[in-house]
Amino acid sequence: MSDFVAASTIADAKAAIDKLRANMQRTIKGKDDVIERTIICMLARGHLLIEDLPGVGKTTLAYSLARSLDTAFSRIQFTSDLLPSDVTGVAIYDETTKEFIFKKGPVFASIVLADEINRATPKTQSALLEVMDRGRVTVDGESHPVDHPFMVFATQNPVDYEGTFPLPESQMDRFLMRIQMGYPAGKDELDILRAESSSYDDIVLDPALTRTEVSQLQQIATQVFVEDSVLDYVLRVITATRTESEFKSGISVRGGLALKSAAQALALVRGRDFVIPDDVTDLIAPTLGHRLSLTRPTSDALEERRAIGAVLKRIVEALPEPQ
Amino acid sequence: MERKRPQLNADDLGRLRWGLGALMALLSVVTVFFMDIDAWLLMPVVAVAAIAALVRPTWPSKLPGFVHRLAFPFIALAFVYDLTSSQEPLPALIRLALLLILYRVITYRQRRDDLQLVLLGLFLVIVAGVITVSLSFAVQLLAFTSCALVMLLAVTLEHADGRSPKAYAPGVVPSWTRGSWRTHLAKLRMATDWRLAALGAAAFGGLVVLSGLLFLAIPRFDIQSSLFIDRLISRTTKSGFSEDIRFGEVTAITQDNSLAFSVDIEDPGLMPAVPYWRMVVLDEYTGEGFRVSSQFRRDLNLGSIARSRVNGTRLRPDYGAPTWTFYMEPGISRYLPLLGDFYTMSFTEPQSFGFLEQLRVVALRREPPKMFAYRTWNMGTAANMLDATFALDLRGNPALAEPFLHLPDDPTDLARLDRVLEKISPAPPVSAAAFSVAAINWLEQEHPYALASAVPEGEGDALIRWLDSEASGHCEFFAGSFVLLARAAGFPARIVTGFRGGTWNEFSGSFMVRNSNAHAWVEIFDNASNSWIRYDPTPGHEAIAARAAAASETALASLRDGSWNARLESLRVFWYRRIVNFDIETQEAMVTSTKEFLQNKSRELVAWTDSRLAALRAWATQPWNLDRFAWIGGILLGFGLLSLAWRKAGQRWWLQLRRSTIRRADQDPVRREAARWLRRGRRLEAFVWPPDTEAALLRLRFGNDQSWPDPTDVFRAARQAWRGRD
Repeated sequence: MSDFVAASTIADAKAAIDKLRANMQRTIKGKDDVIERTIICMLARGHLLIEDLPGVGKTTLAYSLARSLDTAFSRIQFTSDLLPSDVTGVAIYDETTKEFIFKKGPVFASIVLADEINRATPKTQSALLEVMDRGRVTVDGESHPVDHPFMVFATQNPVDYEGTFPLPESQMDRFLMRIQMGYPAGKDELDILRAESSSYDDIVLDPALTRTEVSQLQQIATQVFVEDSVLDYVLRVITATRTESEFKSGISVRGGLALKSAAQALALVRGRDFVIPDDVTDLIAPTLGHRLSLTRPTSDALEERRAIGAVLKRIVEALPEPQ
Repeated sequence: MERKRPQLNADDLGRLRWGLGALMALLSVVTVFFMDIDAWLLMPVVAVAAIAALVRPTWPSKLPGFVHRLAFPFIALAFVYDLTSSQEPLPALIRLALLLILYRVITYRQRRDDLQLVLLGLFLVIVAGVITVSLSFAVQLLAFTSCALVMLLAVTLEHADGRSPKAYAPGVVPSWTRGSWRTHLAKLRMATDWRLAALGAAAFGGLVVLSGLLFLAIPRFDIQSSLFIDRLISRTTKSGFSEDIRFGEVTAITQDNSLAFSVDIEDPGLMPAVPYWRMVVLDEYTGEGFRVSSQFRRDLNLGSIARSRVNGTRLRPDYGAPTWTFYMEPGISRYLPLLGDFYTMSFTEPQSFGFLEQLRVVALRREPPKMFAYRTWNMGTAANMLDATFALDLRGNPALAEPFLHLPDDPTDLARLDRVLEKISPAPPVSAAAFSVAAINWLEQEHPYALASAVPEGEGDALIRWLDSEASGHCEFFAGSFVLLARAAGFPARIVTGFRGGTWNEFSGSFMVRNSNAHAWVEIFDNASNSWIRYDPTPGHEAIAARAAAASETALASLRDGSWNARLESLRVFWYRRIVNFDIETQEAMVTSTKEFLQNKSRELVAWTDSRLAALRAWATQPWNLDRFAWIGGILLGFGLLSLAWRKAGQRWWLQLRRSTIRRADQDPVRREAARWLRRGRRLEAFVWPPDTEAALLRLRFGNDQSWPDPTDVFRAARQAWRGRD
C-alpha cells in the first residue's frame, strides 16, 4: 500500500502539473484532454501511442512536452529500411583508442517521437519496444541506460495501411495508452491558421518543470492511495474483458497494472491523493482499448477501434462502480 | 455518476431456470418419499439426475439423440405396463410424474417444458399433502411455491421482448452452461434489486399468512374422502396390531420409537400413573396362539353406516366431565386405543366402524391412511371394568363364558397345564384376585423377561411348553400363559393388546405414546365385583408403577419429557390440533380466545394510558414551587448535557467502536456511511454538495484512512448541507 502523502505535497504537485498543462496549452490549442492524457502518461512512466491522420499535431504535442520539461527531444521517422541500430545506436571501432566505442542512437533522448512506427520491420519495431520496456540499450553485452524521464510517442496512421507491419498485440501491450488527436475545433483551428509559423522547430516554450521535479511527481503518483473497493473494480473490469466472447483474449496482468497506475496519475492531476472510481472509468477506453482485438476481424482499423470501444462501454456499463 | 445495476441477460435467466428446475425436481422427490409409494428405484434416480444437472449443466448435451426420440414412447409404455400390472392408478400416476420429471431434468427445457415441470411437481406436492396431511407438507408446499414463482418470473423475463428463445437442438450446449454457479450467483446478487426482492418476499409472506388465516376461518370438509385418494393406495401396517397372536418358535419384538398416538386431556390429573391403552381383545385360543374369535370379528365388521358418534357403556356424566382427544398416527391399527369404558366417542367426520360392547373395543372398517382423530367423553381409567351384562349372562347361562374359558383340546397339554396350576395354588383359589397374584408371582419367579423369546423344543402346545420351562419371554408369552392358567383354574380371562405408558410432552401439553410402548396384558373376570380386572403378568411392571407413584405426587410429573424430540413433536401436535382436526367448536373457541385476548390487551392499554395521563394531569395542576422548577430544569439540563456529550464524544466513540469490530475492509462503517451520503447526493440531480464537503466525503470513502478528517464532523456537515438543499 502506498505511503501517506501530505496534503501540501499534493497541492504543490497539482500546481506544478497545472503549470505544465498551461505551458503546453500555449502551443496545442483546444486539445485539453489530449494534453491531460499525455501528462498522465508521463506521470505514470508510460509510453503513448497516437493513432491519427497525419498533420493533426502529433509531433507538436511531443515536442512541446519536451520543451516544457527542458529535455532532449528526438524524432525517428520509421521506414521499411530502418535498421535497429539506426534507432538504438551502434558500436564503432575507434582508431585512436583502438577499441569499440558506443555511438548513441536517436533513442537516447527524453522524449522520443517514433513516427509511423508501423512502417518499419518488426525487427526494428521490437528494438525500440525493448528500450521502452527496459529503459536501457544493450549493445555488445554492454548496457547503456537511456535518459530520465524517458517517454516514447509512437504514431500510427489508421487509414493508410498499405505496406505496413502492424504492431502485434504483445507489443501494443507496452504502450500505456492509445489516444487520438482529432481535428481541432473551428475557433482553435483559426488561431492555428493565424500563427506566423507552423514548423515545430519554431516553437519556443519556457521550461515549466525540471527533470528532478518530474521524477518527484512520478514518485508521488505511485503513492496515490487506491482503496480496496476501487482495486476490486479494476479487477472486475479486466476479468470481464477475459470472459467477453467478442474479444479474442482479455486484458493481461500488465494491462491491469497500467489501468491502476494511470488512474493514480489522473487522481494526482485532479489534485487528489486517492483514486476514485471515476478516475478508473475515465481511463478504461484509452488504457485498455489497444490491448484488445475482436474475435471477428473488421474491415479496417477505425472500424475495429469503434467496435472495441462499444463493447468496452457495454462491459463498463454492466459493472456497478463501487459506491 | 449513478450507475445502473447489471441486467440479467438471456444466459443468466436460462441458468436460473435450469437451477430452479433441478431444485423443484428434488423437492418433488422428497414429497414422494413421504408417501408410501413403491418408487424406491425412481426416487434416487431422479434425485441423482437433478443433482448432476445442478453440478454439471453441460451433461444433458452428451445424451445421444435417440434418448430424446424414444423418451416419450418409452414413458407411455412404462405407464401402461405399470397401470396394468399394479392395478393401482394413483401410484402409477405418481411414478409417471417422476419419469416425466426425470426426462425434463435431463433435457434443456423450453418455456413449455418449464411450465410442465412446475405442474408435475405441484401435482406430486399436492397429492402428498392430501395423503399425508403432515406438517412437512406445509413446508414443502411453501418451498415449492416460492421456487415456482421465481421460475415463472424468470420465464416471463426471458420472453419479455416478445420473442421466444430458439429451441435447443440435441447435442448442442446452450451458452448459459458456461461459467460456475459461484459467478452466476454473484451476478444474480448484484442484479437483484433487494428492496424489490424484499417487497416481493413480504407480499408472498403476507399471502401465506392471509391464506393461513382464511384456512383457519373456513369450515372444514374432508378433502381426502372427497377425492378418494386414500383408496387408491394400499398400505402396510407399521406396528402390526392384528387380530391374532402366534407363539412361534422364535419371536422378537423390535423397538420402534416413533410416535403411535398422542392424547389431549382436559384434566391431566385424571391420567393414571401407568395408563394401559386397550386396543384389541383376544379371546379365542387356537393352540398356536390367541385371536379375536370369529363371532366377535363378525360383530365388529357389521357396522357399515357411517356415523360420527357412538354411545359407550358408561353413564351420562355431568356437563363438565373432561374429554380426551386422541390423534392416532397413520399405519398403527384400525383398533382405537382407549383406557376403558366411555360415555360417548365422536369423530370429526362420519366413519364406518364397529363397537363391540362385550369387549369394549372400537374398530374402524379400514385402517386410516392419514392421521385419525377421535374424542371420548367420560372415559374410565380404572384397572377394573364393570361388566354387569356379562355377569348376568354368566349366571343365567354359563355357556356364554365359553369363549373366555376355552383351552387346548389335547389331554396331555391339559395335564401339563394342571401340573403347573398345582404348583401355583395347591388348593382351589378363592377369588380371581388371589389367584392372579399367585399366578403372577409364580410366572415372575420361573421366567425372566426378554424381548427375544425362544420356545423350548418338544412335543405339544407351544405356549404350555414354554410355561412348563424356564425360558425367557416377552409380554405376549406372560399374558398368554396367565390366560391359560386362569382358564384352567375356572376364571374367564382374555388377552388385551395395546400400549402401556407414554410420556407427558411439556411443550404441547399432551400425552405421547410410542410404538415402543406396545404391550400385551390380561383381563380376568371377578365374580365378586362383576368386573373384568386388569393384570399385567409381565415382570417389571409393578416396579415401574411403584417408581412412578413414589417419584412425585402427580402421575404426570414422573412421565415428563422435555427433550428436543418432544419440542418437535409438540409442533406436530399443534398441527393436528389447529389445522388437521379442526372442528367448528375448536374453531369458534379459537376465534373467541383470540378476540378476548385482543380485547383484554386493548383494554389494558387504554387503562394504562388513562392512568398515565391522569398522573400527568395531576402533576401539572399541582401548585408550582421552586422544587418543581428545579426538577424540570435539572432534567432539561441533563438531556442537554447528554446530547452535547453525544455530539462531542459519543458519536466519535461509537464510530470507533464499530470500526474496531469489523472483519472485512468493505465493512468499514465510515466508508459505508460516506458512500451512503454520496449515493444520496447522486440520486438527486439538482443537488450539488458544497465542494469541501464532497471532497471530504470522497476522502472518507476512497482515501487513505490516515489522511481522514474527523468523520463525525464531515457527516454532520453533510447532514446540514442535505437538510438545506432547498
